[in-house]
Amino acid sequence: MAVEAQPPARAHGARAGKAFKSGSAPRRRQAIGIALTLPALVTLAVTMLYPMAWTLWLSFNTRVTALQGTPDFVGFDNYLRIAASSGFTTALLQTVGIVLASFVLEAVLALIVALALFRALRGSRIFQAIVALPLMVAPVVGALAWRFIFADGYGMIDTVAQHLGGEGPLWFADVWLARTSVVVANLWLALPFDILVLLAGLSSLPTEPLEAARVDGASPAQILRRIILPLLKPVISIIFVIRMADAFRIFDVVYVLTASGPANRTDVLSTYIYRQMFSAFDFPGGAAASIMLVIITSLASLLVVVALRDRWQSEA
Amino acid sequence: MSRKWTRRHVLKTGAGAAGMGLAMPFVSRAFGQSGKITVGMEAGSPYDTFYRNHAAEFTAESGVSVEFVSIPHDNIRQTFVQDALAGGGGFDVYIADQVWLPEFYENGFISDLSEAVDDLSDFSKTGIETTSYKGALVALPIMVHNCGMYWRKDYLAAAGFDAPPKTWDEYRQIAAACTRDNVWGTMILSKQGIEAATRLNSFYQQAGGEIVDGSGQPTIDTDAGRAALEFMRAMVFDAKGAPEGVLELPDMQGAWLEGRLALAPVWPYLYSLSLDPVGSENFAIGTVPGMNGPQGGTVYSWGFAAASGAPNHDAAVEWVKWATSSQSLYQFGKEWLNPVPRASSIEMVRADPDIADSDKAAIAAMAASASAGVSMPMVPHYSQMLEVLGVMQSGVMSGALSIDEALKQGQAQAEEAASR
Repeated sequence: MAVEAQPPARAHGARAGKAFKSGSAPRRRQAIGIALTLPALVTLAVTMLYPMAWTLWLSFNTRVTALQGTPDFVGFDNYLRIAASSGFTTALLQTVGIVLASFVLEAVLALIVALALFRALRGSRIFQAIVALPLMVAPVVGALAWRFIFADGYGMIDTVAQHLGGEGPLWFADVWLARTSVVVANLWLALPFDILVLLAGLSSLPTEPLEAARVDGASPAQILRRIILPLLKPVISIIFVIRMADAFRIFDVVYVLTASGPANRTDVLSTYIYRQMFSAFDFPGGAAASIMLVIITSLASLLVVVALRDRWQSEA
Repeated sequence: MSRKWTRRHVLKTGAGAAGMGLAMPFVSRAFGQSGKITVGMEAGSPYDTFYRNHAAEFTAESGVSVEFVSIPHDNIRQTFVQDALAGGGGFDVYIADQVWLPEFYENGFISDLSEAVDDLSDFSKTGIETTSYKGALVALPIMVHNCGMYWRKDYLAAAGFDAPPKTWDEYRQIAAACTRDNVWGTMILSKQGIEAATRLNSFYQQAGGEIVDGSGQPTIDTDAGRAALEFMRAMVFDAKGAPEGVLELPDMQGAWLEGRLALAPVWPYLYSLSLDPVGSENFAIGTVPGMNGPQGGTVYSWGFAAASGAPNHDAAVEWVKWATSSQSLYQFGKEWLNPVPRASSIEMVRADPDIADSDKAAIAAMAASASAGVSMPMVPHYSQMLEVLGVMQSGVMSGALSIDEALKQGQAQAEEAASR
């Protein structure tokens, strides 16, 4: 028994030795991996998690916490106060309006342009490069350019209208025109992303179903509706989620173009939060509004994903 | 003797370099505290250029080197607030708009200079009033100014006038008479924002009112407020002496410099910019009219304040004193043709043979304009009051709000701001 017992013991010892050897290498690799990623993790924690945690903490405290760093806990008071303020609800409704308008226009225009560019006509590649240009422009610079296009009295549109013997509209002096200018400028900044992602999606589509549909005599509209769009579902989902978050965070365009005017009629949540923080010095209120914006954006994105998934699942 | 670099060596060296990189700002700050200050400036402003050009003189006198951080006007207040909230350290000295001084001092962002400055007698009384709050000297002024009325002599002469308007009625009349193809009589700023809101504050004062009472409580919904908003609408929609639209300062400056405006109420710095395109013989500066007589626009000052969290506070105070010294302000007034708030500096500018008589006359006109005006109210919620005014005037001029609605809404919002 003892003789019989030894081999397993040796074997065990050998296995243990192997395990030790083979275990030390992964551990070392793991340690190196951690060491290499640690600076990035620490940087992320410092630059993202800490401000987020601080904002959350601030939203449950008073100005004293922001100014002196000492806790002054007030529970959900800031949330209730901000949610009840007319400024917040107005900004929220206007943000939702801009998001919806942008979404509908983006979806339609991006699909039309992407399909047009995808048809490999002469000059398509040049147009693809041109379409991508706004992506390389800082939003604030793009917004400034649009300000000079829309400017009341001397803007590009007004100048062209004057050359044609008419007068351009006063974009920033009319509530709905001011809102339109915001949507248009935002569209210009956002469309390239939608178009390029859609183009990438279109490029990856299998050709067989399309050819089969053509052979079967399907019309272009039928091919689009029955084949292309269903196959593009994952791509469209990604665009919707990313753009949803982006659209809710709109700031530069409003700040530069209209400064939330006239009479706060183009105010959005980001500009409202900015004012609460840096004009009113209402840091806890601004923090509470920021947290609410994150929650609203997350819920809206979730809603879009669930709605698209359910719809597509039922279609499938 | 070659040494093999193992992966461990590479990792160690990399980690060491990263650690040094992270620590360097703190190390340099600790070693640099005694000999360096950081001054936050408004990018593109006359004082930014002037003090950058002359900072070497301060360094020669004090041994303290100066680093300037220039911030665009729209972001400067926010940048300083963020610095102060983080406990300071980013700036030793803030360029200070009078608008911010009460709120900055209330929140402990800037320090009281009273004990550091012995003699204020050479400063103008108004200048010191604009930088004093609750008995503390929270800054020292480099410029005390308001909007002067830039007027085109040739355009007014062509319309039969030889002097700028003294009353609102005259203002409407002259503006309407000067309006012709591609030239407007004047411009009424109403784009939502703080700059245009300062004009509505001026209209309140010109109508004999004020936006807060003696105790700092808002007085927005008043006869003066109604008169101010009615005047703005009447100039544009009845007299047709100004273009429609919610316009802003760059619109007015651009139109003036292109020769498309006859009357432009703008800040003193526009004078030196106007000399070339407009020509000194074609324009002059007067005092902005009031409802019943020359009143001047609301008076504001710019100055320097020492940050409470300044790493080098003593040197910061020395900078503030040097930057507002008699000699510095004389040079500033001479180079930028601006009114300055020290009697001795004004005298040196007057006596300087290198300054043209027309420039001296312009400086005197700006000083007279500032003397005719009333300072902004020193309340900590003034920035928010301006935002309320901005909403009101953009609403009224765009038709989004009636005058009644604007006054009522403005009063409620201002009271809310004052109660925080």
